[in-house]
Parts: sequence; C-alpha cells; structure tokens
Amino acid sequence: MSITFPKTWTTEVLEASDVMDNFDAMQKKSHRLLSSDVSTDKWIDTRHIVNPDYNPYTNIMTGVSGVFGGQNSGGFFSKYTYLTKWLSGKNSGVENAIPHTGFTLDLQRPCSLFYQWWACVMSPNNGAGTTGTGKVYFYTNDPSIGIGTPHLLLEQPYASPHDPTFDGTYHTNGFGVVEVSSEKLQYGIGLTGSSTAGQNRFISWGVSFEAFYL
Amino acid sequence: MSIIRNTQIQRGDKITSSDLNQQFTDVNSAFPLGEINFAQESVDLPHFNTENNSGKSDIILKNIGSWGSSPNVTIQANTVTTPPFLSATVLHTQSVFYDVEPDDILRVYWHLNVEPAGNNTIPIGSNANGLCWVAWLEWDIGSGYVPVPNQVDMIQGIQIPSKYGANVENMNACTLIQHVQIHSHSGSTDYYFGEPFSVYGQWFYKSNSSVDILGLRLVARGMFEPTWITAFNKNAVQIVQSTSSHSCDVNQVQLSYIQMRSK
Repeated sequence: MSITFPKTWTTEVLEASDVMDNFDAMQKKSHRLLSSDVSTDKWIDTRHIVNPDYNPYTNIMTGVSGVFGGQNSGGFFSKYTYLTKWLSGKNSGVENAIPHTGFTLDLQRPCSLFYQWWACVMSPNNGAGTTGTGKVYFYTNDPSIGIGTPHLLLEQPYASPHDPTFDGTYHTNGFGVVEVSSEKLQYGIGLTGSSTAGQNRFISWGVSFEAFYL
Repeated sequence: MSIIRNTQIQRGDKITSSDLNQQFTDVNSAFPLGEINFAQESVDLPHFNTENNSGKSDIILKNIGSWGSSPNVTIQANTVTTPPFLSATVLHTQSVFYDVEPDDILRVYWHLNVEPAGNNTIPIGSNANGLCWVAWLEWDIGSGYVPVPNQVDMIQGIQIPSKYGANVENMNACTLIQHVQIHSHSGSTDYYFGEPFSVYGQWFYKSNSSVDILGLRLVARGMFEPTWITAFNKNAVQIVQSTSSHSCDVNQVQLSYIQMRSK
C-alpha cells in the first residue's frame, strides 16, 4: 500500500502546514509498514550475504552457512602420514591421532559435521610373524576415542615374497558424522587409529569436512 | 521498484502545483520494498533462523543421519548362472522418515567390514582376479524395498539367455568387494583370501519428485566377474558359476545419509 498524502495542491497558496502534513504522512508510513508494503518476491540473493573468510594455509572457509575445508598429501609419496603399532601399545589398540588429518575449528553455531577421507595405504610386512591390521576412526576433540566403525587397513601377508606395492597396498575411504548442539571453540576433528602392523604408510591421502550451520 | 527518483523539480525552476504533487507521489515508487533495499553483504549469520541443536535448519541442510551395526551375515555364492538365483542377503536395514522434495540432493555413504572366504574350486582360476561381490543400496518409498534410482538388483538379463548381472552404467549405488587376490611367483599360483578388510560406497542423487523415504538398506549378492557385452557394446558384470565353498562375511556396517536443499 502506498502513502496517501493529505494534501494535493491546485491553485491555492502554498502553506507550510500543508507541506508538513505530507511530510508527516511519509514519516508515519516509514514507522509502520504493512505486509502489502513489502515485496513477496525473493529479497535476499547471495550477494546480500556476508562473504566467507578463506584461510589459504589451513584451507578452511568460514562462512554464514558453515565451516568447510580439507587437506591432502599432494602427489604420491610427497607427504606421508601413518599408523604404527609402535604408537598403539603394540597390540593393545591405543588410538593416536593420524598426523596432518586434523583440524581445529571454531564452530559458532550448532551444526552437523560430515568428515570424509580417502587414502592409499602401503603396509609392508614387518617380519613379526603375523599379518597385522590398522584401524582408522573419525574422532572429535579426543584422539584416544574413535567414533563409529573402524576402517581396516591390511598389512601385507607375513609370508609374502612380494614387494608391498603388489600385495600390501590398498585404497580406503571412510566418513564420520557428528551433530554439535552448541557453540564449540577450538574444536578438534580428524582421524585417529591403532594398528597391529608395524607400518601403515599413508602414501597418498585426502581429508575434508563440511560443518553445516544452516 | 523501491528506488525514489525525484527529477521533476530542478534548482531555479518555477514550482507548479502539479510539480509539487508529483514530488510527493514519487515517494510511492519506493513501494513495495524489496531486494534493492538491502546492501551488499548486509545479511550475516545472526539474521538466519538457525536450528538449535544440529544445524538442520532446512536452509541448506535438511537432514543428516548415521547408523552402525554388526550384522555378522554371510553372503553365499550363486552356484548357477541363470535364474533362479539366491535371494540377495540383507546387510543392514534402517527405518527412517525423510520427506524429499524435488531438487533435493541426497548423499548416502556406507562402509562395510568384510571377509571373503573360499578355496581353489570354481570359479577360482589364474584369471579370476576380477571376481567380486556386489553390495548395493535400496530404499523403501512406500512399496517395499527396491534399488535406488540408477542402481539395479544385479540379476538383470544382460545377454539373454546366457548372461545375468548388470551393466556398469546401471551400478551407481553399489560397492564391489574383491573376492580373492591371485598372483604367480616362482612358477606357482597363490590364492589369497586374506584377513577382514573395509570397503566403501556412496550414492549421490538429485531428486526429481516428492518422495517419502521410509527405509534404507544395504543388500548384496555374488559372485560376479567383469565382462563385455559385444551385442550391446556395454561394460558389465555377470554372475558366475561357483561352488558353495565361496562366501563373504559382512561383520560391520556404517551408513550415513545427508539431504540438502539445492534451490
């Protein structure tokens, strides 16, 4: 609904009070808009929303819609990470964070967080007389507590005569989901795991996460 | 239009009554207020009606869920290459209720811990490295469980009457589980069934209709081997004849579901 101006001039003398009445009508409208005064079309486009902030070092984007990011190893053999039984209490299953795969997030709103990874893992037989297994988990905040189902990394068969590239190297993928019910600052996420293998070498890998505020 | 353009009266003009009236009525060109009244980057996170517990506010993220189980089931190999085949083995069933609108994006991920087992009987041979089991995703949208769109039940006639399985182009929601590693060295051939290992699968889909998802489940059958269907120029996997000595245990399952708005 448009403004109804109280004064419409014809040939009379211009009075200040008439002008003021029309100004008052404008002021009154601006103080009390009706639903018919606003468009029912889309009001907000992407350009109206505050641009996200991108950190090129951590490769994390923080925006209105959430926090998103990822890391990867680059090319084959260029940035290893690993699991080893020597940090797992040998066969006791003690879980340790897998280097490079973690992020520290400032989550400003409740969110749902999806984390996923892929890895090419070479696990050469370490001569222990057994075929070991690495177990990879998603974790939040405490790397000693893995979440969900373990993702298994096979060691090369202990009696294998082959190069581990042949029968000790596998591709693996996995994911983790967690709902965060309140603001969390300095919130850690990443991969953790334990192993009964001497070396689970992550020779090529990538991780990413999506934390949805909206 | 919500921009006021007052151009009738210029400095030095003699004001007429009609000019003056127009000067006021031009203000009404501001209505209705709309998109143009917002400045660039004027909307920030506090302006949005975020969901209090999980971020599932329906603006980008509609639903998300994750479930795990330890089914400890065994998939038995089919012993014939033509129907009737063994029923698919159910690995995990998850009751849900998700209201899916057109253009919603569905992302489903799963992870299985598996352990194939067998011996040196058919179909094991020196060229059998491609032997695999197939686990795929099904949903119940009101008429019982069926494979999700772009996925089939793996017993299609791909070259009737001799070959059954699925064309690769119809396998968009499945996981192939390698049955055995076969390699030769020092004049002998090794068949390695190995230890339990993990496999992974995913299905992405942009819905073209409204559906209510009542359940999600993973099922599997086998064994298959890659093949080329010359008559149709298709890559495919076909069911192979096997002894009953071959099977695949599935010990753990994790399934996750994400539903996002695209418009």
